[in-house]
Amino acid sequence: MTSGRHRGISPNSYVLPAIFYVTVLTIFPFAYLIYMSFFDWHIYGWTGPVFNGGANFVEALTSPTFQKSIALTLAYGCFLTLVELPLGIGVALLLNRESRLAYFARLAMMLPLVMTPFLIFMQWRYLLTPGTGPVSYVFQTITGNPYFGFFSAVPNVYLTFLTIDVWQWLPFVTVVAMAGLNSMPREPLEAAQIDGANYWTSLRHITLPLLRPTLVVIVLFRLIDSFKTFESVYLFTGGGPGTATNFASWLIFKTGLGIVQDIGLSSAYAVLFLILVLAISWTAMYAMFKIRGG
Amino acid sequence: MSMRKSLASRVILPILTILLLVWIFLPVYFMFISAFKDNTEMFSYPPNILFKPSIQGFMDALYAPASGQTGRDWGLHFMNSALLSTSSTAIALLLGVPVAFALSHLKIKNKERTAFSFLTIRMLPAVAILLPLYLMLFRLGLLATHVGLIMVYVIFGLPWIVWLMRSFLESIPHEVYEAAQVDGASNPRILLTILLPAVKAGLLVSAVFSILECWNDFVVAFIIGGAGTMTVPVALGTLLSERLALWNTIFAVGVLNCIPALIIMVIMRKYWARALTLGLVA
Repeated sequence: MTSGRHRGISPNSYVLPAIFYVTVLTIFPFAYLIYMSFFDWHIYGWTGPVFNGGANFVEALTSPTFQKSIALTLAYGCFLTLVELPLGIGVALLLNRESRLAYFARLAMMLPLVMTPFLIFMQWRYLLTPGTGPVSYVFQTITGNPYFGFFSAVPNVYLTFLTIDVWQWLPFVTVVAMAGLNSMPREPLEAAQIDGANYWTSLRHITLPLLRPTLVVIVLFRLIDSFKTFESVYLFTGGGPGTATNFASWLIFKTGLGIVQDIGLSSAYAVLFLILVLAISWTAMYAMFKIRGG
Repeated sequence: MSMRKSLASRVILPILTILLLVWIFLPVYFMFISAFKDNTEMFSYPPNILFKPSIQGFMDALYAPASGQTGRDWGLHFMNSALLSTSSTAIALLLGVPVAFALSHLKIKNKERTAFSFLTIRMLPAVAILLPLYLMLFRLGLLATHVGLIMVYVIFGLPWIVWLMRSFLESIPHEVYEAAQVDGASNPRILLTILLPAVKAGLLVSAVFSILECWNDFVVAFIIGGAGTMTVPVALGTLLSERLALWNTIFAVGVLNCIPALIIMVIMRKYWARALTLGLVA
């Protein structure tokens, strides 16, 4: 070992510039967000900022709009995850074999992952547009209705959103699940086969339990990403029909930077939503690292 | 593997795989062929599968800027996308690689907490944090400027750089670091001349994912960007508010927008799962 002089700068200084940067651009805005949430501040009407205590939080917590939006956001995320997790694992098991076709399909699965999400939504908008899109034409032939309401009626709009989300994100579940399948130890599975266990028994009792750490990662990422739903609302529904797709990100945007521009209330929404998202992701991250033994 | 060589595995599995391929490719196929339709063909309904291909969409996108039918300067939008994503990634690398180095091989205080704070950024819903950033950038006169957007994109690039580079640097045995230290090499020297050359692929993968994060972004550029900084996805969005959606031009731009990502996808297929989960699943 040489003397401290030769070691140069302290190890902590490798972290400090980035920490400083992140603090200035996320912690500071977050503090500013909390600050703004205590003011009556309408940009468009040129009122405020006037300090109004916790009035925005009272309004947010008692407003049915916000409660419905949060419940909707959570329910939608769980719904997507519940559909995509088993489906994605199924596809991973399907493609996890040595054949040229499976290899090609594994490669094709990456296509939705690299495409710009906004373009994916444009593509679906084209497909579903009445009088232009191929999918719309197929529905017209089947139902006889040239203006089939993919987005205008309540159960349909969720099914359409789900379909698009599955197209976009199923490959993520599959690619990650496949990596989990390939990195798990082979001995338990081989031992079970020698013991005469069939495919489904070993899947249920060996493969899936071993896959659990990977599944937690998948659930965390799918849930968190579903909370970011914004582009599809902007492009397809504008929050409607009624308030059917008024997801939290859209509500915050619309309240703060839309027509009303109620900065104070929008900030209170954002603070509450961020607290919820952080609580969920920290709980999941904690569980994740406990399972991995970290 | 445990798959029995039965009827199921010889017939059903290939059929399911083909159905999956159809499901993935059909929407993209329709987008792709629409890019090659001319302005009349585009509005024929039911949409034709077979038609005389035309490059009118591409020509309108590339050579009829500003004054043309689309009224958009696509060269500028592609330049913006490229400039913003590469420059923010360069800064994120400068800030993030030292962090990854410290997290993987140095003794620092609050190691796990530091790592988690960067992972948390990946979890934040951008819209919630963009509201105060919007007002802060407005105060600083940086709203709708390239500098303002780059400042924000660096934040969203950092989790990729820090976590992926940490995962790659950790794959180098700590003894390599210790041996270099015994030889009297300083930390910056060890990082630059020994560790980084050993994880060139990792450096490329994390940079690419940071670039893709910005290249594919809509929300940030939409909320805090302006006419001069308009990236390709935001410019595409403005086309839809017009009365007639010119799908051939839109998808011509879309096809061009996807080409860089597609090339990268094929080159990096090995690292995909690791990258998507920021190294949480190897």
